[in-house]
Amino acid sequence: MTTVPMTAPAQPNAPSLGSIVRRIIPIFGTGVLIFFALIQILPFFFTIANSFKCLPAINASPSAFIAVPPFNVACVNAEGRTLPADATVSGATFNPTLDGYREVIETGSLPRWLFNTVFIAVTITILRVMFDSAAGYALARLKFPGNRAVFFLILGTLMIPGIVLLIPRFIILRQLGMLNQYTGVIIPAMVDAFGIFLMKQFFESIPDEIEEAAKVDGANRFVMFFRVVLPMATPALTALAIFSFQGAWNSFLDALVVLQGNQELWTLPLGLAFLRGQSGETLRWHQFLAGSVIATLPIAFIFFGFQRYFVEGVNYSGLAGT
Amino acid sequence: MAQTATGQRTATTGTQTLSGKKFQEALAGYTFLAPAVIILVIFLIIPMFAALYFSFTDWNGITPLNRQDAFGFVGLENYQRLLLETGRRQEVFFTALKNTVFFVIGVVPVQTFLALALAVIVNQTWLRGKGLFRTAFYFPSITSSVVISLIFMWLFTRNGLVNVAISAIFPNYDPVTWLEDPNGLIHNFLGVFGITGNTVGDWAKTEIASVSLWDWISGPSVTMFMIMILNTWTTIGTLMVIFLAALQNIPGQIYEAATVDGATPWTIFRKITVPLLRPTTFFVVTLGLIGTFQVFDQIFVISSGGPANTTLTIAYLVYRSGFTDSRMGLAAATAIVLFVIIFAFTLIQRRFTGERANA
Amino acid sequence: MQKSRFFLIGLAMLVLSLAFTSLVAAQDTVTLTLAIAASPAEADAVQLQIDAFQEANPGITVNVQALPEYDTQMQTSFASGDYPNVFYVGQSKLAEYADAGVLAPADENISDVEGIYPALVTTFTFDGTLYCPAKDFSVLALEYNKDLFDAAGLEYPTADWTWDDLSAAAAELATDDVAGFVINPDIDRWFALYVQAGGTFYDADGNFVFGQGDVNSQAALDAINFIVDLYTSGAARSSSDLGAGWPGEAFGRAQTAMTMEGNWIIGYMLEQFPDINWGVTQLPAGSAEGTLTFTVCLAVAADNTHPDESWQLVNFLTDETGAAAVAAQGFGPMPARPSAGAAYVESWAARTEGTGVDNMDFQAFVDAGEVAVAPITPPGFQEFRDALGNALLEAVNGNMTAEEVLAETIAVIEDLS
Repeated sequence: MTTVPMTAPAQPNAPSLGSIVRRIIPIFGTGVLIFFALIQILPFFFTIANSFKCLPAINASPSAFIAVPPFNVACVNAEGRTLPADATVSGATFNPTLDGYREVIETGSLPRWLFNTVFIAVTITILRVMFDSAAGYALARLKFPGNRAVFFLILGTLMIPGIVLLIPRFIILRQLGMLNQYTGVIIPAMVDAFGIFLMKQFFESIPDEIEEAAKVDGANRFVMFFRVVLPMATPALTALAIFSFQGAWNSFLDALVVLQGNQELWTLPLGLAFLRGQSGETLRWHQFLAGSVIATLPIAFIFFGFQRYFVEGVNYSGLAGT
Repeated sequence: MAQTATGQRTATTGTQTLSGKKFQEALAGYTFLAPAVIILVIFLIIPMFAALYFSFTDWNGITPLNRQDAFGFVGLENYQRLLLETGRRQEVFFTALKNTVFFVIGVVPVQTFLALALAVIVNQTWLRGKGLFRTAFYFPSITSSVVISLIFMWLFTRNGLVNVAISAIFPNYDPVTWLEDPNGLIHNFLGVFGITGNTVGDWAKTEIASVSLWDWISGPSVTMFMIMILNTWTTIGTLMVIFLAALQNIPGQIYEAATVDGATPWTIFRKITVPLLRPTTFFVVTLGLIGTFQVFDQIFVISSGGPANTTLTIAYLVYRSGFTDSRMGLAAATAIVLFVIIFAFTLIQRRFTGERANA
Repeated sequence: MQKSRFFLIGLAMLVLSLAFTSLVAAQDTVTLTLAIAASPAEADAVQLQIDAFQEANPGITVNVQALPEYDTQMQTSFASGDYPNVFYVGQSKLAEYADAGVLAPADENISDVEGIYPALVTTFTFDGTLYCPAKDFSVLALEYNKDLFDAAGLEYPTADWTWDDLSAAAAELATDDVAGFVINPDIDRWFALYVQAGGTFYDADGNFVFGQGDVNSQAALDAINFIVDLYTSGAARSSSDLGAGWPGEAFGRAQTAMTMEGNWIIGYMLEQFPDINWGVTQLPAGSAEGTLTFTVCLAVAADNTHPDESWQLVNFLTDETGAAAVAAQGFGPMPARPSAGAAYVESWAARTEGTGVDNMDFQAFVDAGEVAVAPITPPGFQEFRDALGNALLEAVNGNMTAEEVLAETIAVIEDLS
């Protein structure tokens, strides 16, 4: 092709407003996000920082956040006297210690609580993913008498304050012999209305054409569910798994009432409440903060690992003309 | 069965296949639902009926139920004292209702909007470190509400980190006791214009349901406002995750096609994303309503309904009546009333957002 | 398929969880359940006592249940009819539980009732029946910062102080940053003033007579006016006003010269604020001496398969030896028997040695047990407590007069009765 001599002026084209905005948005947007992210994280940052301080230091200077040597200070000196605050804190710096963590592990049965919580949370998550998605699919797709009624019944269970159900549920569990056992915590929680609702909403947003196509191929409902619909539901299932795990991990009053007779089966929230002591007693912050960090970080890692499954865009390319 | 015309036989076969299909569909439906329904009935529905039953009694919540004379029937008396009879019970209930409604109105729109905005932004292609941002936003949601409430309390004491930070920026700042301030926000706002409880005139002292008009418009107290912030802060992450999952469902091709057509990000958001997210938004708002009407955990840990009953919500009132005040019958009645309120709100909301949209 | 394997794993875990149930070995021994309000220190201390009990009584095994949310959990157990044999009962819950019929009356089963502080025996008597022996107790006393008193050139408070002495000293010690006296308008502290003004809670027939009748109404007015005057003169401030979570914290940060707190402050100060030099003495007297006590008893269940063994356990934990064990625990509550008082004071000697605190001062806490009253209200009276608390707050802020506070509270009492 013929080269057309560039008769345009030497200066570059003036950038359009649109392109300026388009370039600023990422920077501005990232800035806004970083700001919000900091707001979300800052309290935890300080929690983690303070979990490494001696108790008087936490009270006196909660804002000191830079750890400086000497590391691993002993908060109680040789004579059994606690070090005052200014022995370990100065301005924004402090000498970290592992006392909080050590005490929390020695005082309670933290490893045991951690194991119980993991076991219960994982079991509940697996069961909920299965049963909630099945129920949600049935409500979304299957036509049978009572469909709407069942949905409202399930939704209705979310609308009553759980406090008032505490005693009746305790009595039922007692009749079924499920008190002071893992099953007493797992079985009532293996299905939940929130998860069913979530999956129902999601399944309703899947185009009918996909299932029509499968039906034409002769698939029955069971096959359709397991082979066709469920694999497409990965984002929703991931969300459900995350919520279920987190809900089970943090469940407090329900587990409290069921497991009151057997400290060996306690979960982390129960253990933390035990460490907190009764209301009116002064909270031993260094233990409590250390315990909180231990109770929180596993979930952060699980979430970070799972959220990779939020793969962008479900591929509908199998459908012609969509 | 006779060798009749082909049409007849086809008709017979057709009917059998049809009812067979319907039967199979219903069977699949019931099988899929059975585990969920069984569990929910045993552990939720039956206790709900038990609560309903107790609401018609004067049970104190302590006397063992296997005793003959554990409680007596009082019919609708609990409901009457709660809703109709002028007196302390009514005053306390409607104060709790007022506080809860302010809470709902304040939290639900804000948390829905922020969660949606965050989800959309975090979903952008140009964003690096998506995983990190998502985890950061989700962080407050993962901690147990007990732990986070205690941390929150620690941050907001008068010498706590928040006041220290504000003092560093504004040297003349007179530290606010965030978590012990019973003054209503609307009252504070009106106070700027010189309108206070003393100056407003006697008409404001008339009582509706044992609560004076002036008190009805108090707005959430400062402490309640802090709890609203705490609640929003912890739930944004969860709702963001829900919106994210829904956003994944929108094929990237739609966005590409729109951008090729010259649409700006804002137009895409308004004309494509928002309509496609309608069912999810309805879901998030419903959840928000249900959750905020039942706010309990933070009150339980932080304020126990104080200061001056300004953080008393209906759910906490249920707990207090049933477990501190040994009036379980009244607590059950309060819970049933809350149930009815939430149910009504949900129905209204469904009517508003119309039918469920299929993508 | 991945999903069905998922499902199988889920089922397997469910089965596993069923298998994990702890097996209870069948024994010829009697097994008792003891429920305690749990905190780590308390749980350890109780376990020591239980071990001693089981050694002395080989035929009895005791399962200790530590309950973090004690009241809620106990209530669910009561309601189900299946609850522990022996359990703590706090003073505020006694009337409710006795009324609900879940407590076994003590009858003659408590060993050496006369050796318990009389105030504690009255606290756990409902409708004329004694139900349980106190296992420990706490009282309010007057703590003072020695350095602040020295700097102002004032004499330390003594047990003979009156209200006037207190207000005078507090007024002198108050500066812009430091309060003379920290007291929150909290009913669980203000009731001490009411008692010191000569007020009572119950009459001989067990009727709730707070603020009713000439003596009590005057006492209430005096007590309200006293705290309001302390605030308006600037001598007293609230802990939140000073930026502290509770008065003890303000005291620890040397933000106040005096405060009115209980013996739980000893461990708190020694552990968290070891450089403060402080002392303790009994609270000043109004028209009478008095202070508040907060106490817990060990009760035996009414529906009980092993009542005799239960009383054995209760007595082991609360008789003279039991009280001595409580005294030696060294973490706060005091033994419920005056006989063990000296041992309690002595138990702090090691930790206070070399600090500016004299453990002999703690005798003030022990002595206060003689004039202590438990501030309990009838069951279902939470609204009364709220109303009074709110009204006190309003009064201290200048929005209500003492007469209005009293009138409002009486109205609530009548509404609730």
